[in-house]
Amino acid sequence: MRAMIGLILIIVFVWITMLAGLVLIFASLPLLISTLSVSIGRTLESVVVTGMALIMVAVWLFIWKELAFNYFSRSLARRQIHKSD
Amino acid sequence: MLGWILSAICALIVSFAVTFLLVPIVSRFMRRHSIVGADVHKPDRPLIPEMCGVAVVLGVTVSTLIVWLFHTQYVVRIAVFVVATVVAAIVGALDRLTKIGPRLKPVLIALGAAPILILAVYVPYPSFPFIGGTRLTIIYPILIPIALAVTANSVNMLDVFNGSMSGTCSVAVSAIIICMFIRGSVEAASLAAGLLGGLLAFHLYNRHPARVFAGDVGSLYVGAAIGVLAILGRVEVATVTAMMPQVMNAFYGLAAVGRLYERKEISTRPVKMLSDGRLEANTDSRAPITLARMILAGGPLREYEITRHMVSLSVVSATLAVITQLLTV
Repeated sequence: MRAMIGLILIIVFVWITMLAGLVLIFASLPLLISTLSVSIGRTLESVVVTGMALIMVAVWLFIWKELAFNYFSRSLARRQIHKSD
Repeated sequence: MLGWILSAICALIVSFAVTFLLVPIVSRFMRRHSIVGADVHKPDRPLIPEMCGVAVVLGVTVSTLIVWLFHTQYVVRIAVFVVATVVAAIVGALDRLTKIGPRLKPVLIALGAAPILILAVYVPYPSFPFIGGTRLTIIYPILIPIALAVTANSVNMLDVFNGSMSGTCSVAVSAIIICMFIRGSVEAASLAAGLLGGLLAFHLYNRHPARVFAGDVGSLYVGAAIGVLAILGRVEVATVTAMMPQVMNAFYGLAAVGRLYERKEISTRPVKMLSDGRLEANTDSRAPITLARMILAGGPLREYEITRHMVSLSVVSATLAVITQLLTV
């Protein structure tokens, strides 16, 4: 039961951060486009915007992975202690 | 709207009936030709017919004919759905018979995106929650082949326990249908209803104790079908949310191993069987971290209990998917 609650919390966390990330990316786009298109042109602008979005997704995946792996390690360690008791 | 609801119900019933009738026939054929695999999570490791997902492929494809009969003007979109998904099924069959390998498989599945791109049945203006419509004319077509490969492989990687693939995908597809009706993508909802019918019929045979296995044919087909439906129905974010357990499982496995892998390549299994038939998380650090191993971190469980937990997680994701669609302007 405890493992399931933990997994549900991870799913909810991932969902909230995914929505927050999407809002952040698309809210910052108009500002970025208006700033960049003047100085670097539309093609480079697309590359820069895509690059930034990819970096944000990579950071998000890293946080997601670390959270889940740490949770798993702790759950397993708790179980090992239970077993040895 | 009533016509679409009627066609969706007909597609669901036809797909369910065809799949239900075909599974025993396909199963006998596979057993006769020794296309069987050991059910490794049972103490006596019984041999179960593989590649029975062919019945789902046929059942769903027949149901698309029903949708076409109701709405002939959507013939291109229906044909694209059939071609793109059958490509994934063929890749699955080839992998079972010739061993394509974990790196080439996603590339071949991505080829299924060709009809979507060539016939331009996608709309590169996806809607996101709180933001509304966006314009992704350059990125969107690039993401389509990736989306197909990701969804197909994610579903394939969760097809590890009796009923886990059919159970979790049935819940996800149900949520996707609701999201499509909210979005107004009724033609895609009818096609999705056909997929749901096939999955439900197959689940009756695949649930614990399994009498048939879907094989890569079935799991890659179902995954690719979900990916294509997300694009046709314009419910991309809701689909990602509904498929959270599948995506989590695939991502954790890839992150732990560090590359694309086949289950057979992994020498240290993520779960091990106890003498009483229950399954336990492997404590060996070399074992990949999978969703099953995370569920089992809390203690040993029977196989059907793990599947039940996976389906429960799918229900949570499905609920979040519907909320996501409601939040989408």
